[in-house]
Amino acid sequence: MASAAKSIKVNLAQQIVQACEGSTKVFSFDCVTGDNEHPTYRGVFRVLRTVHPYRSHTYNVQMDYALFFTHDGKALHQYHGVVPLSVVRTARGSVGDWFGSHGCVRLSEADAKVLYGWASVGTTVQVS
Amino acid sequence: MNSAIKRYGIFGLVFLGGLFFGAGLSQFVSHDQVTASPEQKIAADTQIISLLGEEVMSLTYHTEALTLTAQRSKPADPFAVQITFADGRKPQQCLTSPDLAGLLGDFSTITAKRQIQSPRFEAEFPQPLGTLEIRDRIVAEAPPAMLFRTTANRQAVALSYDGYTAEVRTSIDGFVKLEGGCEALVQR
Repeated sequence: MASAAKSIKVNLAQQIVQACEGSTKVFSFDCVTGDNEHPTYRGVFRVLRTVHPYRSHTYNVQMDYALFFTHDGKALHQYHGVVPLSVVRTARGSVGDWFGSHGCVRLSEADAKVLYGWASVGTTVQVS
Repeated sequence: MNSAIKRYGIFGLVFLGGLFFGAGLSQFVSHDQVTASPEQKIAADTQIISLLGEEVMSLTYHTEALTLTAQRSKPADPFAVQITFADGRKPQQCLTSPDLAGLLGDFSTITAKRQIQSPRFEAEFPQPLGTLEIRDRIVAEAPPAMLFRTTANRQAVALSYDGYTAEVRTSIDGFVKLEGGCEALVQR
């Protein structure tokens, strides 16, 4: 029997990422998405490239467990900041979305690692 | 007058202080601060890189002996290949299949066998193979150039990129086929 199609759902309002197999949710992770000036685009995409470890040459920042899903380089990836992701996520929700990313979807190291091992190129990414 | 100037001055300083604090805080949380730490990053069986095959638009393989460039204008089209040789041999040109004569899968997904500490890279893998640069349609973030080496008996392959080094599951056969030029790439 064929396995159910995998998809990654990014909920911008709730700042969560869900990994689904068919209609079954298998993982749910907290995330931080883009700010006003660099929004995470809504739409349906595919994972185009995966790289780990990875350092962005554009931003000169670490982006481990990167799952690129747009042609302009937006990716789900590990957050490497000094301030904990949970604090940034809370600040983004309560203070303002200028605490957001440059359009990427940031995850904790543990969550990014799990998602990277689960997804593959071609996996659908739905941002809504 | 003096007290008004003082009051406005204090408000101005507080405002500027808040502005700088906010900007600093924003930078602090918006940018990933930690630099690359190549140690203990690549677990066995990690897919170091994987690209959607149809999205690969060009592949350049450079060795001491030759430079091979395979490129196409549209996803999933056949690749136009050009090979130039360092020894002055006549350049080759040919058209090969959309899967690069069966090699695209080998080079678009590279899986780690084990991480190698950088100082051991050349010692354990003394023979240079070449540098591979693959480009897909994510032009803003190009995949890293990957330097490949092999063991003295040519049984194992390792790569290095951006300070990371790992032995990989990629077979040396693919590199040999690339070095075979158009004759090897056109035949299946």
